[in-house]
Order: sequence, then structure tokens, then C-alpha cells
Amino acid sequence: MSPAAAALDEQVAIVGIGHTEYGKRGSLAHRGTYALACEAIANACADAGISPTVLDGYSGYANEAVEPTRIAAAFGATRLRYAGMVWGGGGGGVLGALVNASMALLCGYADYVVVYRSLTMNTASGRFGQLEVEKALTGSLSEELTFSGPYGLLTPAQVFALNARRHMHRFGTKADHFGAVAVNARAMAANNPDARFREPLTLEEHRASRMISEPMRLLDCCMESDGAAAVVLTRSDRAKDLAHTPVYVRSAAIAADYRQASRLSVSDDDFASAAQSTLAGEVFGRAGIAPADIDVALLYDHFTPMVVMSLEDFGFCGKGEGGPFVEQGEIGPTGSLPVNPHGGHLAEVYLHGMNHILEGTRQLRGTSVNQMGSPELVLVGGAGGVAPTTGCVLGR
Amino acid sequence: MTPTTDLTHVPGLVVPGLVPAARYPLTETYWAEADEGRLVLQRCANCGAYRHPPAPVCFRCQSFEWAWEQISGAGTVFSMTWVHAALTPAFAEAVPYNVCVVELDGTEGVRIAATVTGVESGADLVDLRVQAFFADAGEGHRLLLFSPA
Repeated sequence: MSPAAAALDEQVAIVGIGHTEYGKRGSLAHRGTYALACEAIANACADAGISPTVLDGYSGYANEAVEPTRIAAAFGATRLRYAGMVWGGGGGGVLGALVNASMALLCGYADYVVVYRSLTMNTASGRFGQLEVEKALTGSLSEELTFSGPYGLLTPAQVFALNARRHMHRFGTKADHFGAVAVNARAMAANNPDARFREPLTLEEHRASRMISEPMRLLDCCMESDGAAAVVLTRSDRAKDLAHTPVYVRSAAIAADYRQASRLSVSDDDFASAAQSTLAGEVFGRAGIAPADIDVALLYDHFTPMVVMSLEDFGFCGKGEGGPFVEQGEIGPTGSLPVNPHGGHLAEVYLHGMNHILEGTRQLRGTSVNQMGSPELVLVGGAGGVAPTTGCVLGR
Repeated sequence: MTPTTDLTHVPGLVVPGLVPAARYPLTETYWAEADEGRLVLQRCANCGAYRHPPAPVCFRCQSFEWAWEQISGAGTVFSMTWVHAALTPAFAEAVPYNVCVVELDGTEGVRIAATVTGVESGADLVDLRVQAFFADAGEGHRLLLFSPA
């Protein structure tokens, strides 16, 4: 166990969670990301039983556009002592914001750190699914993407389809396996009043949904959403005096599998993956636990195949066995590893992983509308298929 | 290299603005050579490792010395997708189109993304042997494509 493991284990806690209403892409644009961020943060502080004026640290990822100084100014915060951003990876960085928050708290740079995300995806530049298309048509693609852009390979759905297709080729993974992930998400969300999609889904409906980029159908993709969410963290000594039973950050980690110049030229095993095998070793190793110790997993479901491959990368099943694992109902409420009891990005809301941290916290508090027994350890994973990707283990 | 005539589903040839792409100091040579119909890759002058996309240093031996080397353009499809959803109305004429990841012979595993032309729409192309060629992309530019070998 590395020195960092001992340093993080149960010394930092999530003490408040909050969010705004959730809606379809553009539906909350009239309110703006600034107002949404402040509302989510105010709700998280109210949940913790603290005033937003005592927040003195801000931890973001994915180039969060609402800057800490604006939030501190809006609330009339006493002081701002820490502002950090996870570098790269988009939604893959979400739990890296917990790494940074934890370091700031443990090193004494801040006493109350908020992690937040605020999104209104009404414009092309705000739509993660369309970001590179706009750049391609204006001649401003990044160096690497200039090589794939001319072929119309520009969206996350298309890029991750390549990983999914290789997985199918090597292991016999079927489109229905991906469909089972979508069906599970809807089933989980059925009783979640916050969820955008609560109607049950059948495999037949999945098979009939519009093809986006083979093997990715519409119902394999999460839906771009509007909303904001926030999580307040503090050191454990302070956490014990607050409103809720603390949910401890048992470990958090930032990692990447890509070790060569191109994501296309990685090893076959890394290509047919969610690029989270290195992360799994970091996040479980730092917590001193094994995959079998996890009671509930919140896996980043931007696309259903990435869930299948995340399950393998984190070691919940063997390499190539993710499809059958899902098909057998292991990720359902009565399975060996319930996944995304809130419905995830596919059914609750696509909020770049923030809603997964919120649900993980609720599960450990025992307050979820879809409570999976009395879990003691919860895994939260950031977006797979990108670098860096991040994860954390939460416990009580 | 035998060009095929079926180029109606290549986004870079039917959607204005995709070719030429943005140029950068490390990528200029690739595109200049492509305009002449040559597929070149960076190759480490110290250890001989090929790499793509271009990078300033060798991932294997960390040398900063490299040369551009023309390669055969023969390869095997490693993975692929058929894109059905038009990204914008401009892409409507291109769909459905395929984008393949081609592992290039003699490069120790360098893979490159491109469209394979002259194949049946919707076909499974994984493991297909392919050969590179260049198609006219207008304004003096050419674009790398593959066709079945």
C-alpha cells in the first residue's frame, strides 16, 4: 500500500449533495449555467447544514465554465483559498475532482471544498456530442483529430463504436448485451422522480431504435441534458459535526491506459476496453480492497458498451465476459453487482458523472429512492474510453 | 495502387471544409506528402519505431530525431463503424459511410483511421485486407483512402 493510501482513507468525507431540476438539452438555457451552479451548490450546502459563505475551495473538471470567483462573489463567501481543475479527459475527470479536493483538504489549503458541474447544452459548443463537428467545419480541429475528421469520425458515439466493435469481434459480444444495459437503466429509473426517462424499455425497442454509428443505436447513447449538481467535502474531523452521517472517500484516483502516441494504436486488450484497467488497480489498491468488496457500482454510462467494458476493466467479471455478465442480470437490483440504481446517464440525467457521485452518497446514507440494501462500499467510475479517466471508492 | 470510382460516401470528399484539415508544425509534412499521393509516417531515427499521429519524441526510446518514411499502404482492418446518423445536414449525402481502423503492414502496429471504399454498405470489414490510395479532394489536395486488396 502506498503512502497516499493511508493518507486518504476515511480522512475526507462527502457531507453535502445538491442538484437543480434536470431537463432536456436547452430546456434550462434561459436560466444559464451560472444560476444553475449556484442553486446546486446552495442545495448541497443546505444538505450539509453549512452556509455557502464558508466554502473556500472549488474543484472542477472538463473545463467547467462557471469559474469559482463568480460563485464566491455571488454568495459573498468569506474567502477563496483553493481553485483546481482536472486536466483533460472531459467527463473522465469527474472523480479526479475528488482527488484534488481531498489533497486540498488534507494539506490544509481549504476547509470546505465544493465539486460541481453546470450544463446547458443548447449551443454547438456546449454539446459534447457535437463539439468536434463544429471544429471540423471551421478548420480548428486538434492535431490528432485532423487525421480522423476528414472521414467523418468526429463524435464520441462514433469513436467509442470502434472500441465496441473490436470487443464484439474478439469476444462475441452482442448488440443485445449493450441493449441489456439500456434496459437495466430504465428499470432502475422507474421509481426515481428526478429521472428524465422512467418508461420501461424492452430489448425489442432497443433493437428497433435508430442506428447512429454501428453498433451504437440511439438507445445506446445517453441524452444530452441540462442541469447542475454539487458535492461538498470536508475533513473527517469536521464532517462528524454536520447534518448527515459522513460518506468517506476511501480512495480516489486519476489514471490512463494509453501509453502510445495514438488511442488507435494501443494494445488489442486496451482497444477492446473502457481504458480503465490501470485506474482499477489504483482505485482499489489505494482503498486496500478487491472488486468483490464493492456492493454497488456507479459506472459512467455515456454509451452502453462502455459499461460492459468498464465491468471487465474493474474486474467484476473476466475479460470478454462483460456481455454475458450483463445478460444474466448481474447488474440488476438482485444481481451480484447492482449498477446505477438512479438510472445513470442513460435514464436519470447526463451530468458528466456528478449524478453518479450523488447516488453513491445516497446509497451509503441509505436514502436512495432505489435503495440497494445497506451497501458499505460503492465504486464510482468516470468516463471510460478517454484519458485520463478517474474513479473513487466511497464508504461509510 | 488502384483507385476505385466509388467515392460517393467519403465525408471528406463531399462535405466542404473537412479537407484540408487544420495544419500544425508536426503534421504539415504528412499532408504535403498526401497531396503528392504518398502515405508517409514518422519513424524514429534512433530505434526505428513508427508512430502516428505525429509526435515530437519517440514513445519507445524517447529520441527527438526522426525521418518521414513512405510505407506500402497495405494493411488489415482492425475495427470499424458504419455511420448512419448525419452529423449535420451537410453530411446527409455521405451517410451511411464507414470509418475503419487499419493496422498498417510493416509498422509494428501503427493504426490509422480512414474510409474503405468499394465495399458493400453495412458489410463487416474487420480482418479485411486493404490497400491505400489517394483520392482528389479538390483545390490540389488529396485524401488517403483504402480499397479491398
